Amino acid sequence: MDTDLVARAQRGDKDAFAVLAAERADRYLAASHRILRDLSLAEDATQQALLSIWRDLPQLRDPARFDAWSYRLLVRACYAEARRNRRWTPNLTLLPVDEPVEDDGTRSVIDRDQLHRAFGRLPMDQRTVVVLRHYLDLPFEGIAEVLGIPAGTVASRLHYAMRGLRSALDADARPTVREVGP
Amino acid sequence: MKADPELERIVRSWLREDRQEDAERLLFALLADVDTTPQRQAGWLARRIPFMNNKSIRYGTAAAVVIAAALLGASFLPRNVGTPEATPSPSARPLAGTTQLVPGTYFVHEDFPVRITFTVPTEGWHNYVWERGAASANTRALCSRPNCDPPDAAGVGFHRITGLPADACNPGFDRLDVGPTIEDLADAFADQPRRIATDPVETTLGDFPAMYLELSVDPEQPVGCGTIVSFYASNFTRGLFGGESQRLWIVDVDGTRLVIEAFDFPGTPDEAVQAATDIVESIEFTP
Repeated sequence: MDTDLVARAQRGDKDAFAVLAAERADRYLAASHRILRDLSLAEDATQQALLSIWRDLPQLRDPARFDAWSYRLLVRACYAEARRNRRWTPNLTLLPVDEPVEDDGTRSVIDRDQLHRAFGRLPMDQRTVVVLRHYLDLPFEGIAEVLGIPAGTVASRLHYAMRGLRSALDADARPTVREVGP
Repeated sequence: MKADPELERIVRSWLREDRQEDAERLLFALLADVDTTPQRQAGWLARRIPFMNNKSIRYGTAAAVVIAAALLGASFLPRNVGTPEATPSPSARPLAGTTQLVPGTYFVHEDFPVRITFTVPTEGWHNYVWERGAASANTRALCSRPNCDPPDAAGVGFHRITGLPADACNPGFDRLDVGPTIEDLADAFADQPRRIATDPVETTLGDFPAMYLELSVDPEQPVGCGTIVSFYASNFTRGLFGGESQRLWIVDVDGTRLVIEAFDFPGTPDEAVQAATDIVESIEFTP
């Protein structure tokens, strides 16, 4: 990372900030799109995050920590955007299913739509951890720094997220159970 | 907690599927906002000052009184009378990333020796990365097609040329003398074997003195001529396709010699050639 560029942007150099923003905007938008599951909300969150980054940049003490710090502002903007638009939140909690599903040989080919649905059903804090870990490739300590929570909490949140995904995928793979009336 | 490597692999792959989020338009709005958004200065810097002396306190107190008086006075003024609204100025964006460019003003990345600002007049242009990272300080380009290739692309390049091959058709170790001035480089281009060149003429670009010439390549490349090389910019080699035409402006920006190139092919639409010309004509240099 170009810490000189960050330092210049901290001193109010708009060109330097424009370069920083241009280099990262696509990644930020992609990450927030995956967290929020809505492109228009993600665009708003990304723009707000980048503007916050510009405004608060002089307060960043160590330019080398720019990426972790900026991800924190991005996640914060995603949460703020989500609060403003509650229509997207299904807020369902899935009960994990412990018994394994029989592998009929097609398990490795999981339909994208299934995954899309299952991911959308996860609570937002779990989706965020999955995106930070498996899309942005941040280590547990990095995620902990971004979210301001202990690394152990990150690990457990990720565990429950992946468990929830597995359960949802397995549930989707099962034949529909017909409701039985009284 | 048991890991589920198969699921992790699937999730990673799914998260990385190309969904084509394009932040270009968002950046346009953002940079306009940045123009009107002041930065918050660091509180931790202020806290580093351990104490204030008496003079500081006196001046600080006096300043506080003045500010308070000004605020009090302002509160009695009628609102929105005679004060124009702040309007965001259109900001130049950096020529960076790999996304499609929207029409607007751009500048060449800050590690280039001179800041070059220009306007992209139409949709469809792309930042083109000649050699990712390797030659960033010496060359930049944008093209009317993502790949810049024949039969119908047009492009504009910004270069700091360091050498010309003595034979464009057989680029070896021999170099032409490119001298220190814009005239020297223009003459070297005009004399380069295996190229068809116009006589260099004096002109200006962005209010700086320049030499202009046009170069082309025989569409039927000579037998044995595989790769045709136009020039070198440090470790960057500018190769040419058969039939490719270059218009060169060799500019002296306060002692820094830059080459602005507009290029096209026989199949390039007139509109794209015109857009490349418009981009070059919009160039402004800030030494």
